[in-house]
Amino acid sequence: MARARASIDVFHAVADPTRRAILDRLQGGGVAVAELAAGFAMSRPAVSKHLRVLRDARLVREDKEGRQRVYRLTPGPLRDVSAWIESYRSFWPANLISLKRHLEGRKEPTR
Amino acid sequence: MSSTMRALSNVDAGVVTAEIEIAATPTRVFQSLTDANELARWWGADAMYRTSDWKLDLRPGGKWSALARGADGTAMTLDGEFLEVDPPRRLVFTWRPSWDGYAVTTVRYDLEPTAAGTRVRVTHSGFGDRDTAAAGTGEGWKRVLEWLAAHIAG
Repeated sequence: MARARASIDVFHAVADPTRRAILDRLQGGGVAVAELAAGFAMSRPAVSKHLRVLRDARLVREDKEGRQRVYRLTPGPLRDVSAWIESYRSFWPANLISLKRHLEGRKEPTR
Repeated sequence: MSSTMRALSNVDAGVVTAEIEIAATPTRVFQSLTDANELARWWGADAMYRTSDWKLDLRPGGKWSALARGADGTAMTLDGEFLEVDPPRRLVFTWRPSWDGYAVTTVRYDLEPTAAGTRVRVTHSGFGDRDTAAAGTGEGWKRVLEWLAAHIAG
């Protein structure tokens, strides 16, 4: 039951539409930063700022390939987010069944 | 008429829902949800954690808290604030367990009278709320889970 919750940075990172669009873009594989920036209607520094947030949340990785910097999706941290929510998926039914037993006098399941 | 034993749950768009039908009136159910002695008796389960020392200031804005002990003996705390108190229909409160790093989410109970007693529905929301909800989208959340699914499948 007791599970470490996912880092707040992950939520922050995926909350922004531009950053989500970047993640979408990276789903097909690595993209050079110049090419990535060209796909967005904003300055390159602005795109770099978004990339930094994604990097800090460990959702993307930057690799140096020759003279290029290539970004790749590393969605592992999302697993923590998912696991956190999933832990409540098993908790609530168990808790409601406990409430039911309490109120119905701990009688055995009727079927 | 026998009420069903199973509880259903769903995870969708970062919201967890669960429901069950109980052979007791909504008033009686509401009491179990809000009485300190009763809560200590039923909340949790031996395999997860048990609670004690419930304190509830049952009014909107009022605080509640409890101590919890994990199945492995770990001491934990639970607390939050009541947002909506509407007996015997609805109870809404924030949920801030120590084991989730004191992350704040919201729990809502809706009680509906049925032929067999009461249908209790729990809606636990606010996962990733910080900005995800404000960013406007269950859609956004769905996408997040798709990235993850693709990652796991790949």
